[in-house]
Formats: sequence, structure tokens, C-alpha cells
Amino acid sequence: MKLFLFAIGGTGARVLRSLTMLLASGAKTPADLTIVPILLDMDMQNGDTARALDGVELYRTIRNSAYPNGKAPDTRAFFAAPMQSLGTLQSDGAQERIGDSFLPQLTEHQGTFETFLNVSTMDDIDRELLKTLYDNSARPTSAELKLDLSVGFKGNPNIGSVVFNALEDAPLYRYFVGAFNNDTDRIFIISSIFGGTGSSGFPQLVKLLQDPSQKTPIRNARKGAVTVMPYFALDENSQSAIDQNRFNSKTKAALSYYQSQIHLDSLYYIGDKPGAKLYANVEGGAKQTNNAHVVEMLAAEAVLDFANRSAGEFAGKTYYEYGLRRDDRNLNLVHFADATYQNVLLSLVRFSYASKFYVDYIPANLRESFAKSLNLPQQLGTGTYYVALTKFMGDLYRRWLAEMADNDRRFDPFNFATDFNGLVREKQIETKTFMGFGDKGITDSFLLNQAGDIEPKLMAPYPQPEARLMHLLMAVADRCTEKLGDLNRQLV
Amino acid sequence: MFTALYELFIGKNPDPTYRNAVFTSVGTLTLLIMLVLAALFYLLLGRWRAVFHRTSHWILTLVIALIIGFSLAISYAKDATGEPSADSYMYGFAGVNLLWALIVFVGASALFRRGSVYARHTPF
Amino acid sequence: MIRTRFSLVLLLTFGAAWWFSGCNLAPQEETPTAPKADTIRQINVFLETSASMNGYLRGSTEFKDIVSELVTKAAQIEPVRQPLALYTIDKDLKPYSGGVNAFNEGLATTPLATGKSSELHRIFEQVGAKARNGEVALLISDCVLSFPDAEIRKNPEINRTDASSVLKNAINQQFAQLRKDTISASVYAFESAFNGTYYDYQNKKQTLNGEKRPFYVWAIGKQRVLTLFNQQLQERLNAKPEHRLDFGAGKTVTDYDLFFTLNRQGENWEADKPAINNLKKVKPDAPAEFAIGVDLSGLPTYAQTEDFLTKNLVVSAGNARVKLVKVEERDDVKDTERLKANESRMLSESSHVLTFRVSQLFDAQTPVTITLPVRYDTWYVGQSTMDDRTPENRQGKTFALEHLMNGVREAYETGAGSFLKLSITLNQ
Repeated sequence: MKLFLFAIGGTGARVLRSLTMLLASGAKTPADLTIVPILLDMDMQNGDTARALDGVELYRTIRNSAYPNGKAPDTRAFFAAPMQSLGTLQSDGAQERIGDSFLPQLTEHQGTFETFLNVSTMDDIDRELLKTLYDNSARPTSAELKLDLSVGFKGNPNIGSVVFNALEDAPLYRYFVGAFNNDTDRIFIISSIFGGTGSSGFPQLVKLLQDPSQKTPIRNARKGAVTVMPYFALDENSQSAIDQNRFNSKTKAALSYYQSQIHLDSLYYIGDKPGAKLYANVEGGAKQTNNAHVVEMLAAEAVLDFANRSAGEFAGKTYYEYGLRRDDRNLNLVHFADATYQNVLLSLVRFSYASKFYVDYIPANLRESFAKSLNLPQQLGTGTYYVALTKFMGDLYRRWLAEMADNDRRFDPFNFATDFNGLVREKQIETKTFMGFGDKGITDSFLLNQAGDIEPKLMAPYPQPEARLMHLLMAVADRCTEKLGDLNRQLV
Repeated sequence: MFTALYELFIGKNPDPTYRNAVFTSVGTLTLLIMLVLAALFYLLLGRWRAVFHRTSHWILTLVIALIIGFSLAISYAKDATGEPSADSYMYGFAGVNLLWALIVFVGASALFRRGSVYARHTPF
Repeated sequence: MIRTRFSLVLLLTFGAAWWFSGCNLAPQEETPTAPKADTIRQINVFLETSASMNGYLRGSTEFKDIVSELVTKAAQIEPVRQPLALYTIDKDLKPYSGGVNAFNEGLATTPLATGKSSELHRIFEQVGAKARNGEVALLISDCVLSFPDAEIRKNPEINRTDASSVLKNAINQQFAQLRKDTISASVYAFESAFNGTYYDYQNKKQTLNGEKRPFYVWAIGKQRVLTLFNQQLQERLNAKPEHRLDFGAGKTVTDYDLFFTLNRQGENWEADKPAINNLKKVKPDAPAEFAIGVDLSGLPTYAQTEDFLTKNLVVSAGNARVKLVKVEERDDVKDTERLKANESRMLSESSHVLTFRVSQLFDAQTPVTITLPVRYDTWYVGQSTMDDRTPENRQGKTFALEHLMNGVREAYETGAGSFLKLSITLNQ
């Protein structure tokens, strides 16, 4: 099953970033799932988009080496589900190749909204009408007609919808149509309701997909969407065209429109009361790098929830909302419902152990047999796969977690600054020692014994060191998780 | 076979005891002890826990192996010839046996390390 | 904790190393347990006292001096477990309870030899019974073979005609039994004045006044104790026997030690008992010499002499030239302090060192056999007569001694035929 995942705008990119982390950690997915992320954004330089792309690209690199035959051993494996770019799929009848990017070009247009509309060639009446619809004041940067479209629509869906209206003729969409040929394939759309790109792109995209002239597999395909409602506040920036005071009113207006116009199988809604942390008010571009938020992680879980539903589970238009077990500003593993805990959070626990083992333990223990057997002393700092893994596990994954921990609401389940025994904040692994002997939890020698024990057994089934390493990481993480034992599920 | 090995380096001793009772026994015994030591290092300790598996541990074992190889030859030769103290021929013999112990231990290491868990790449 | 375990392992391994170097790993060669000092259980002296012995005891005779000294000196021999025992023997065996001094006095004063005439083989039978189990029996007798009086009365010539058959065989039977029990015998021949009645072969009495008559002392016992006894007796005894003869029941010596440096000539050969290897370069002008150590202490004393060995050793070496160069008794070997421990041990286990020279070898492999054939002295033939009726015929001679001795000799000559038989293989 292929899941065509449209991630629209900055929020779409941030949710995709979280989704990449969840998939890497082995969150529950169907066995045959292939995710085809398609980032839709005018803002090719957007910082959030860039980070999402970075994650997906590393994910793809790692996965290709870790599972040389393309198959992950089970649905809870790290990097289990393949992520493919749209351009690598077969597409019938598409005249234009669109490249291997997860962020295909939405339009070839460069410049302002005014030039996109070809205002200069309009006759006067049309021009005057346009001026009544859009702000054409003298402010050179925030006037709507003067907006530089290459950084998105800056919270102006009324501009975005015009641009997205042309989506049908965009090469990327035509390619998508050509590639969509299977009845079991599904479509999912991530968007925000309060931004510019997302809120304008989402209705337009849905309208296109629902159009009676659309080809049958697309019309019949199971479709879902997660709509992210406001969950953060921006600091005041009078220079910015983005006006957060209009977030809620825009949301209300949009929701009433969705109710009547958007007909999808599953509609996920998620939002949060903005916390004390203010996001920088940046009109897109490289500077728009908003910290990860737990809402994005839960939105990503919605994608998985949709993918995990069997074909028979869909019964007409269904709405889903997300609720925490208790409304605390500081979240820990215990705050989430059992489904999230089982499907997502336990995977993160396991992946965190693997991250600590790979990034912290292995470089300090390259002399050990298992490391030598995996060629790590030579490869760790230089091999593409190993460097990618280090970057993903040590950099991207931990920064993602750190950002969530630093946000408001705060989600801070792991402490990478301490030893393995204290990694999971919710439960310190107890050591039972007497005069230096006994169970010391997850120590270096425990890890060495586990790795030394596991690695030789993986020799036969996984002769390639890259694959063997990945399985070793999973197995060691399993041993660590066993050591951790069951976590408390009672809110106190 | 051992007689040829030892006499190649240290020449013949007129005392036939060396050929009849010393060379073969010491050579075989050294071979066995080295195999046992290597097996101990790789197959017993090296499979039990990761406590004695590093290259430094291996070198320590090697040193002990060489001490055994040397002292075994001396004590065996002294015993068989009944000499109260070792002569230069015995030291030569012990030296060659040390070399033999080294070869066997290193060879056995290369062989046994595959069967080890924690010392699979020690010291190679 | 890893540290702790580490040091434990260290300790164990060094302990093992120490153990290895400390204990004896070489298979223990049969270390020469300090040759068990042979002890004589008891010395039994038997004085024949049949009537024919009377002449030795009357008047002033060498017999009395010699026997008296013999008994006195025999009593001094050690180590013995039990004091010397004295017996008189004619037809019957009678313990003499008086002790050595009384016995010596009795020789001079009391007429001891009054008993009935006795048959020699019966005497040997009784004496031999006291020569077993580490005891030594000493028999003093004139050793005249004779049938019982009644037989002689029936046939006065019977001693002459049947000594070589009946009497000899009876003696032979007795000694064959002793030999079977690995008991050896030595004979010392003495001479003494004789004053009294002499019974010739026809049992006719003749009175002799100071005529010199031989008498014999037999020492009988297990080879080892007998050797000890003979050695000590000879050292102590002033009276030297006229002759001596040893009948050994010792087994043929077949074992030897091959020295690898002692008396060695030639560079390349290797001692590898029972072979000598790598003798390729041996030429007449570059011979090889090797020495072997043998323990001949079980041989009759005369067979242990350098002279006897030099004369009688036979070297058969097939198609090679091998020659006996030198015979040395152990204590005459020079430069022993330079020997290695192994050779010292070999030397200490040997009584003699024989050195051989190989000067030519033709075959790849040459078996060499070194033998020392059994040889007995034959003085007794000249000291034997078959007609002792006249002084001329019996002067210094004993009736039928030849047959007596032949009977004994034949008992000991069966089987072995060699005192020594060694095999060495010479390999090019």
C-alpha cells in the first residue's frame, strides 16, 4: 500500500519531520506501507521544510543500506516503512519528469502575486476589481499584491487559493495522477488551518481530488487529512505580513467551510492552546525554523493511525480529535492514551536507547570485537550510511526531542545527558548491588556483553555490516528495554 | 618432527635424552598448553563474559604463555637430564620453545577467535 | 569489579606458570635408588666331621689355623642380621652351640671328627638348605666322593668305576636344584698337613703323618650376598686359598648404558641406545670410539677382572671393523667430574666401562654383538686322582674331584652360556 502524503506549507513540513522520527523509531505501521511524501510549498527556502527534507533524505539513505533487499524484518523495525519520492514512481501519461525531490516545484512562477496574476496585462476594470479584493497599499512588503510568492502566502489563504487553483495544471500534480493506479493506495493531507499555504492549499487539493472528472482510482481511494489548528503564538512583528490575531477567526471561517465542502473518509483535528513560548514571526524563508511541538508529533501519529486502519474500517466521513489524559503543561509518557503509548511512545523509548548506544557508546568502544566485526573503526566516521545514521540519531532525532522538551507544552521524556539507567525520565533503572557485585542496570559491561553476544548471531542472516548494525541496534535496544521493564501508566 | 625443529636452531646434544625424552614431549606439551590457553582465552572466557577479551588481556596471556613455554622447556630438560642447573643448551632449547609457543599461541588465536564472542577480533 | 576479576585471573595464571615450572614433568627415569645395601641374613658354617676329616685336626695342621681364622673372620663380616651359626655335619646335622671361641678351642683340643662316613651329595643337600633366603652357607670338607661303606665292601672298585656316573650325577642333581633357585657357589681350595687315618677309595685305612692334603671351603648363597661375602672374606683372610672357582647362577648380562661423551672419539655420531647413528664419516684414519657401561658385579669375581674381560670378550660385527679398545673398572675411569648428570648416573650404575673403536663400516646397518662366554677355571682337573692308594698318586690331590666339580659345573653351565651378551646396532 502506498500512502501519498501531501504535506502542505510550514506546518505540513513540521509534521512530516515528526513523522520521519516516528517511522525511524519503528512506530507501528502496516507491513506493506510505502510512504510517498509530497511537500507542497511555494517557499522552497523555508527552514522548517528544509529540516523535514533533511530528515526524509537521511531516512531514505539509511533505510536503503540497512535493508538491502528493501524489506524490513518486521513492522516495528527502525526505519521500517520505505519513503519514496513521487518522482521515482512510475507515472502513466506524464509528459514531464519532476525530479527525485520530496519537494517538487509547485509552480514555475518567480516573483510577486501581482506578476503571478499578470496584473499588468489586465484591463482597468479587472485591475480595479482586484484592488478591491486585495490590499494594494503603498507598503512595499506587506501589501498583498506585492507579496513575493517564493516565501509562501504568509498567512493569506486568499492569495494561496488563487495559486493552488492552478495546481491541476502543475507538472507535479499531473505526475501524481499518472502514478496513482492502485485501488489500495491511499491519500493523506497534512495542513494547518491558520496559516497561508496550508489553509489555502488544502481545500483546493481536496476539491481537485473530489472532482468528478478525476480518474477513478483517485476518486475511490481512501483519503484522510489532519488539520492542525493554532497551537502556538508568534511574537509581535509589525514588519511581518503574518497577523496572528486573525488565526482564530480564520480557523472558524475555514472550519465552517470544511464542514460543507470537504468530504474525506477520515478527518483528524488537532490543536492546542498556545503556550507561553512565542514563535518568531518570520514570513517564511530560511529563517522560519519553528521548534518542534508535541502537537506535530501527534499529528504525525494521525498519519500512522490512518495508514493502520484496515480497508474495512472506513465507514463514511469520520472526525477524530486528540485528547490528552490530563491537561498538564509538562507532558511525560504517562500523559498519552494507551494507543499512542503502545504504537508510538514505546518505539521512541527503544529508539532512544539505540541512539544512545550508537552515538555515545559505540564510538568509545571501537576496540571491541563486535565493533571490529562491523568494520566500525574504519567506517563510523566516514561511511555514508554510518555518518547518516550518526546525524539522524545523534543530531536530528535528539534536536527534535530537545525542541519538544523546550516548548510549551513541554514534552521531555528522555534525558540523553545522563547514563543509560536514567535515559527514560519516567523510570530510573534500579541497581541492585552489594559490595560491587550484582545488577548495575545498563552499564558499559552490560552493553558490551549484549552486543558481543548478539552481533555474532547476526553474522549469518545479515552478512552486510550495514544491515547487521541496524539489527544489532534494535536487539541491543530491546535488551535495554527489557532491563527498563514496564513503565507506570497511572497518572498521579 | 619436534626434534628436527629444535635441532635446526640449537644443534644436536650428544645426550640422546633430548631426542628420546625431551623434544617430542616438550613440543607436544607446549602445543597442547598453548591450545588450551588459547581455548581458555577465546572459547571459555571469550564466550562467557566480556571481562578478559581486550588486546591487553591477550598480550598478558601471551606473556604468560611464553613464560610457560620457556620454563617448561628448562624444567623438563633439567629433569630429564638430571642436571642441577640449566646449561646454555637448555637456554637455547627454552628459547626455541618460547618461539614455538609464540607461533602456536598466535596460530591458535587466529584459529579460535572465530569461535569467540567477545574476543573475535582480539588482537587482529 | 572488572579490576578485581582481572587480578584474579592474573594470579591464577601466574600460579599455573609457577606450578608448571616447579613440578617434575619429565617421566621419571628409574632413578637408581641407592643400591640397596645387601645384607646377609645369616652365615652358617658347616664343618664336616666324618671320620676321614680326623687327620686334619690332629697335631699341628694348617687346617686348624685356616678354619679357625675363617670362622673368626666370617663372624666379622657385615652387615648380617643374625650372628654366625655353627654346625657340624656327618651323617646328621648338629648345631654347635658353643660359639666361635669355643669352636676354635674345640678344634685344637676336642676330637671333633668322629662321625660316620657321609655321602657328599647329602651333605650338599643339607648345606644348600641353609643357603637360601639371603643366607650364606660355608662348608668345610675334604670333598672326597665316596659310596657308602656297605657298597664298597660289596664292590671295592665301585668308587673308581662309578664316581663319574652315579656320584657325579648325584652332585649335579643337588646343584641343579640350587641353580634353579638362583643360588651360586664358590670353592676355595686350601692345603693342610694331615695326621691320621686316611681312607682310600677302597676304604682301606692308611696312616699319614704330616702328608699335605687338600681341603675345600664351599661358600654357597644367592649371588649378591655371596659376592659380598666373598669380597669381605678375601679382604679379611690372611690365609690365601691355593685356588678358587666360582659357579654363578647370575643371569646373562644384557643391559648396558651407552655413554655419549665418555671416552668418545669422532664428532658426528649420536648415541641412541641400542644404536649408534650417523657413523657415516668413519674411516680407518678417523675412527669413532664409544664406551658402554655394564654392571658385571653379578659375575664370578675372576670374570670381573680386566684381564679376563680383555681376553674373553668377543665382538662380532659382521661386515664392520669394531674392536675392544679398553676395559676400565668404574673407579678407574678418569675425568668423571666433567660428565653430565646423565652420564654420571650411568657410570654409577655400571661396574665396568668398555670402550670400542669402530674403524670401518660398510653396510647401512651393522648389528654388533658383544659376548663374554662362560669360562670356568680348570685347576681342579690337575688336582684330581682316581687312585689314591699311594702317596705319589694322591700327593696334593683329591679322589674324584674332577667328577665332583664337573657335576657342579654342568649344573651351572646349562642354558645361558654367556656371562654377557650385548647388542648394539651401528647405523651409517
